[in-house]
Amino acid sequence: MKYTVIIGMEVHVELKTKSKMFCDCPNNLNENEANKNICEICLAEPGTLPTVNKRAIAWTVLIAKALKCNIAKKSKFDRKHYFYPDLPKGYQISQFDEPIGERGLIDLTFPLENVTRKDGKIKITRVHLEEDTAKLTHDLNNNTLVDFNRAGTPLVEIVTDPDFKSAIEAKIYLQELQLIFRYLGVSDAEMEKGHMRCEANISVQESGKFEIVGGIIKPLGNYKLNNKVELKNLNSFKAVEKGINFEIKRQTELLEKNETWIQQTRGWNEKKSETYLQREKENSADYRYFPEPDIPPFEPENFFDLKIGELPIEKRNRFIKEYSFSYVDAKILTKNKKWADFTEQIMSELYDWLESIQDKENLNVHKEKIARLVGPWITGKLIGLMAEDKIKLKDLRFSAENFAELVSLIYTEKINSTNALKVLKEMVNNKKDLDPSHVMEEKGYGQIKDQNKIGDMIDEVIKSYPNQAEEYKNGKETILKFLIGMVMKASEGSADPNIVEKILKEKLN
Amino acid sequence: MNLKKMTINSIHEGLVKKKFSALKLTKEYLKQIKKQNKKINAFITLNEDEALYQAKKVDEKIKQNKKINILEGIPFGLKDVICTKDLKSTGGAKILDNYIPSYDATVVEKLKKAGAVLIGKQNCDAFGHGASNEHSMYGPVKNPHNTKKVAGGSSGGSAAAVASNMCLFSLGEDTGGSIRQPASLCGVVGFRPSYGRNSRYGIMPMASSFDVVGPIANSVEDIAYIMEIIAGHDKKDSTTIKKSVPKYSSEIKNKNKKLKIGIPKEFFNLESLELETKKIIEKKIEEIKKQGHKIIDISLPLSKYALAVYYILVPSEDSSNLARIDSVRYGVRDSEAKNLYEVYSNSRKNGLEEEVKRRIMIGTYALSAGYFDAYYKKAMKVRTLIINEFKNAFENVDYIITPTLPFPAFNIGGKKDDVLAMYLADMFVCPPAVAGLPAISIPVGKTKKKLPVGMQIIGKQYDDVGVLKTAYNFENK
Repeated sequence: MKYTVIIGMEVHVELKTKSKMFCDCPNNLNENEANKNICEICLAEPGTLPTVNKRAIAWTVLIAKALKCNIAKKSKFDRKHYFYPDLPKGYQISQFDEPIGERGLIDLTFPLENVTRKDGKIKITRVHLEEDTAKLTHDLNNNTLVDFNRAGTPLVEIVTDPDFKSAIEAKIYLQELQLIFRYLGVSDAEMEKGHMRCEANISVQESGKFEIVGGIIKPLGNYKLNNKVELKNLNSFKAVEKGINFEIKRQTELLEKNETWIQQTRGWNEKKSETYLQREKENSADYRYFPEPDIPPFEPENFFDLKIGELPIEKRNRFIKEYSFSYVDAKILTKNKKWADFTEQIMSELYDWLESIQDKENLNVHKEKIARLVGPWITGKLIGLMAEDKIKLKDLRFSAENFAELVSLIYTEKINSTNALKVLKEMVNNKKDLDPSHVMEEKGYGQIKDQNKIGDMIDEVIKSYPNQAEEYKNGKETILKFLIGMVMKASEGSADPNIVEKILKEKLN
Repeated sequence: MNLKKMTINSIHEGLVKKKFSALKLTKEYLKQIKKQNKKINAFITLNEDEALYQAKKVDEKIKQNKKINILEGIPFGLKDVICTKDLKSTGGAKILDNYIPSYDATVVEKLKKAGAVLIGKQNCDAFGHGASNEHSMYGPVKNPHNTKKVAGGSSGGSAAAVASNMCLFSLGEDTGGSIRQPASLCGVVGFRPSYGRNSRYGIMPMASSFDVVGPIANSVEDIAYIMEIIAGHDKKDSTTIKKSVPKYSSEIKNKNKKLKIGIPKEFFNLESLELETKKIIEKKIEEIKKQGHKIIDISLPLSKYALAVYYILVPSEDSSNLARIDSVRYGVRDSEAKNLYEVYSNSRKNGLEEEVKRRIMIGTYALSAGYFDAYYKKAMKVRTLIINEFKNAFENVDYIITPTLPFPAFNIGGKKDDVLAMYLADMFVCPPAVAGLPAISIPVGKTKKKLPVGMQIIGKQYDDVGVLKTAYNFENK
C-alpha cells in the first residue's frame, strides 16, 4: 500500500507590542518577576472591561497582508469559554467567524532539502488575533502557581490548509514564518522562549483515496479517512521535524497492521524522542463562542497605518538575481534584516570600486565573480569568526567600506586568503574600524612581489633541499610544485606564487 | 434636621450658607441607617469612617471659603455590584463575601472626585438576578412603605435606602428594569440612561449589551445633577458613546414645548395590569393631556417578545460574564475542595444564588453548539426588530408612557416560587432595555393601601435630556 502524508499547521505568535492586548499593562515577554505586570483587567476582577490595543490590530493586519490574506471588511472579537486557572475571565477573547485575515498564501522553496518538490504554495486558512493565557508552574509542595504577566499578551493565530507533504516542509514553513515576523518587527518569534508556538495536525492516508477541497480533506468513494492527530509540545524546529516524522512513522506502522486510531492530541517527548497520548476526542469541545459584547465590531483596515516592506522571500530572490549570490548564501544573508542591509552596503561599495577600475567591458563578469567571492567570505569566514568569539553583528566595529576593501584586496590578489583571514580576524576583534590595507602593511600580510626578497627565500630553499633541486634539474618537472610549496611556507604564504615559480625556474635552469 | 425634605440643592445651600456642616449631615444619615437598616436591610456594608473623613474634608474647604461642587458633601450609596476600591463589594452574592476590589468603577471615581460622600454599599439580588430582592444572599430588602412587601429588584437596596432617607441618592444598575422597577415600588425616581451614556467600567456585569448604571433619587432635578457628573465617554469602556454631556440640571428647566405622547395599547390591555395601577396612570395621563400635550394611541406589537428576547440574550451574556467568578484569584473558595474541579463546582455551588445558577444554566444551554443559531442568533434578530419598532414609533411621538410595573409592591415570598409571575414584574421595563433606550420611572400616586405607583417615560436613543426634562415637567410637585 502507498501512503500520503497530510499535514496542516497552527501557529501562535506573541506580538511584542508595548502594552497588553486589552489593558495598559506593559507587555514584557522577558519579565522574570512573577505577577509584576498585572492590573485588575489582567486578573479579571468583576466589572473590568477590555479595550483593544490598536497597534496589535495593525500588526495582525500586517501579518495577514504579508501572508497575502484577504483582510476582512468588518471584523469582531468573540469569547471562547472554558474553565482553567490560566484563563482569568473563564473565556479567552479570540476571533471566531470573522477573523482579520482569510484565504492567504505563502510561497516556500525547498531546493536544498530532500523533498519531493522544489517549491510549494501553502494556503493560509486564517489569521486572527486573541490574547495569551497566564502561565502555570507547579512547586515542590504540589501547589499550582499562576503568573499573570503573560495573561493578555496579544497573540496571533495562523492556520494553514492541510498542504504540507512532509515534516521538513512544515519546518521550513515555520522558519519562513519566523523570518517574516522578524522582518515585520512584530515578534522576536523565539520558539524556545515560547514567543512562537505550533501544533501540527497530521494524518496518513492511502494515496489516491482522497481529495482536498477548500482546505477540507474529503474521501473518494468508500474510503474512510484516517483521523487526524494533533501534535503539541513542539518547542523547537528540530522538535517539529522529529515529532512529525515520528508520528508519520507511527501512523504508517499502524495502518500496515490494519489498525486505526481515534482523533487525539499527542505530545512530543523530547527526551524519549517519541509522541505520547494526551487526550482522545470523540467530538470537539464546545467553547460556546459568541460575539464579545464589550468590544464593538471594527474595520481592520482603519487601524492599518503601516507598510509591509520587502519580505524575506523577495529579498532572497533579489539577492540571487541582483547580486548573483548562490541560493545558500542568499538564504543565510537574508536570515536577518541587519545582515542583509550590511551585505547590501558591502556590495554597493564593491560595485563603486568595480566601476572605478578600467575593465568596463567585463563589468558584469566581475560583478558576478565578486558576489561568489563575497558570499562565502561573509557566510563562511566572517560569521564563523564571529561565532568563535561570540561576537554579534551590532558589536562589529568595522564598516562595510572596509570589509569591501578587504574583498577587493583578495579579488585583485594583493593578499592571499590565508592572510586575508588573519586580517579579518583582527578587524572582527578590534574595537576600532580597522582599514585592512593598513593591517596588511603593518603585519606584512601583503603579497610579496619583491624579486630580491623572493630570490633570497628561494636560495634558502634550494640550499635546504639540494636533492629535490637536483632532481628537477634532471628533468623531473613535477618536483617543482614541492619546491614552490616550500618557498610559500617560508614566506608564510605571502609570496606571490607566480613570481616564485618564475624565479625558481630561472634559478634552476 | 429633616432628612425627608433634603434635595441636592437644599443641602448644597445649607452647606454653603453654613446652616449645617457636612459632618453633621453625614452623621444624621448614618444615624438614620442605624435606625432603619435593621428593618429595611438596604445596606450590606457601611463606609462609616471613610464617609466621616470625607465629610470633614468638605467642611475644611467650606471653612476656608473655597467653592464647593454641587455634589460635594452629599451622602450617597451604591448598589453592591458597583466596585469600590478597598471597600468590600459582594454583588449580593456570598461567593464575593471577601472580595475587596483593587479599583474604583469609573462612575465611583467621578462621584468621589466631585466630593460626594460614599456612605455604604447596598443590598441587591445576587449579581442583579431578580425582580424583588428576594434573591440576595444577604436577605431580602423590605419596602419602606410596608415592610411585608418587596422593595423590588434588583437595585432594591438602593431604592429603599433613598425612600427611607438613609442616603440622598443611590446608583443602581439596570439590565432589564433593575433601577426603574424598585424605584417605582419604593416611590422614588429611577433613571435608566441610554446604553453607552454612562461607563460600565467597574459594574459587575449581568449582560454587557444591556447593562447601564444610573441614579435613584427623590426628584428628577437630583437625577439631573447626578447625571451631569457620572455621564460621558470613558476610554476604559469601548461601548460608551462620544457625545458631549449636556448640563442636564438647567436643560430640564427650559420651557417645555407641547409634546406628542404615545400610549402603547398593548401595555394597557395586558391582563396582568392591575386595575388600581392602571387607573392611577390613566389619571396622570389625563393631567398631562390637560397641560396641552397630545396623547396618541400607538401599537408596539413586538414588545411582547421583549421578555423572551431578554431571557435568551441576558442569560447568555450572563453565563459568560460570571465565568470569572471562579474563586481562583478572589472570592470565597470552598476549603474542602480536593481538586480543581471541586474548587470550581463547590465554590460556585455554595456561593452563587439559585436564580444566578438558573440563568447560568439557561445561558450555557443557549450558547451551546447546535443551539446558538436557534436561540442566541434568533433572539438577536428579534432584538433588532424591537429596536426598529421603537424607532418607527418615535417618528410619530416624542415620548412613550407606560406604567412602570403592572402592579404595586407584592408580598415578600408571594411570587418567589413562581418564576414566570416574577418575570412579569419586568414586562414594561424590559422592552426599552432591550432597545437600549433611556427611560425613567417617576412616582405618580399611591394605592389605597399606600403603596406607590410609578409611571415610565421612554425616549428615543440618546435623548436622555429630553426624558429627564419631560419627567421634570410631569412629576408631582
